[in-house]
Amino acid sequence: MNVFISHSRQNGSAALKLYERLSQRGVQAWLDTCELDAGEDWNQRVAAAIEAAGAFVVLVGPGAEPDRSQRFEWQEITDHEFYLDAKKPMIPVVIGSSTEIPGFLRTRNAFTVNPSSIDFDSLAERIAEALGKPDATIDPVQLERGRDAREQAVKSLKEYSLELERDDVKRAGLRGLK
Amino acid sequence: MTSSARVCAVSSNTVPAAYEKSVFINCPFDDDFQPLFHAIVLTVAAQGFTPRCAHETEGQADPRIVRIARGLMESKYSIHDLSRYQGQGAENLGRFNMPLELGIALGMRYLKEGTPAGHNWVALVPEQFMHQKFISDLAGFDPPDHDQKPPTVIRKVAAWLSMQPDFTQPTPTAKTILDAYPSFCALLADAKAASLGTLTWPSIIKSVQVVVSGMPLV
Repeated sequence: MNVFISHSRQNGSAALKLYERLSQRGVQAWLDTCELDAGEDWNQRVAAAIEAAGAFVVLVGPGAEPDRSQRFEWQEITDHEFYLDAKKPMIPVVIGSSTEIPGFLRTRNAFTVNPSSIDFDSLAERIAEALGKPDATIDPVQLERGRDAREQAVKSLKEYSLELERDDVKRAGLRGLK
Repeated sequence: MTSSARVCAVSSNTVPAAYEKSVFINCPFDDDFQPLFHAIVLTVAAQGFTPRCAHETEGQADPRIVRIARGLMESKYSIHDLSRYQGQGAENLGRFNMPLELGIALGMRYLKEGTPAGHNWVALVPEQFMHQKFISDLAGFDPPDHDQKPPTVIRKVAAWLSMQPDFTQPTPTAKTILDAYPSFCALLADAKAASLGTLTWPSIIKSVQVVVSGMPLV
């Protein structure tokens, strides 16, 4: 199974250490900085690697925003809706506790690490184990919360629709008075 | 006046949806663009958000730009379509409303950065990197492009929304949304016929609510 490692430039060093530790454990990982040669079309190669990947390890943070290259990777992942495929393990590694997780990773069990003291051996061990059990990468609590949020969203839309209708009737009445 | 006081000065008291679930849609409203506008409305609602736009406050006394600024301030997210960039009419004039309104959203993005009421926006641009010629300051944002067709617009908007922190799963796939699009258009056509040729925002929301509530999720 090809495991695509998604990272921003600021996490380049962490991504490389994780790639090495995963490779030592027999995991076939794909990291752009290790796989690409100078002069190759980065976008094209990364898009192809994402399409071929059987699993994803996504380094998120620290901070709220991915950089340009990681944004491209996320666009590819979400555009093809790979995150909706429960058979493809997708493991967020959240760097820093205040990091906001993007919506498409929210129902996945995340490993949260402290940026100043990452134990890469232990992290790679846990990731390698999780890759063998795709179902275990789904967070049932978040999925249940998502179901509730969905119900609430449909309800809110209905309320909004009713509110607009009431306003419309009110305005029609005012027009009638004029 | 401080910047926060200025924000309050154009905010309305009535907010129809939770801030973090509001998506303000800023695109052309003419007949030619309507299929894409409806595709965006459907996708936003299908992804669990509340679509909003300037139609919502039509008939109010405020100038359109003030109503748009208000709608943007009440929404955590906004979608701006810049795909129509060529001159129009006998005088071949370009229309600058969309970039102007994107500018408001972009300003809000940085003004509100780090606050609980942050704002994020996306610009949809034409294919083949044309935006690099007419709005080169978007360089570095890599805005999603589209071919002016509903399937692409649905896919791109769904993908962008799924990256936002307030997106939740389960959700319909882009294909499910696309499959529901003809039913949505049929409901809109019925609503338009029933109101003697006028399609109102309340009837668009009523129709989208009906279509979305029965969608299969994954």
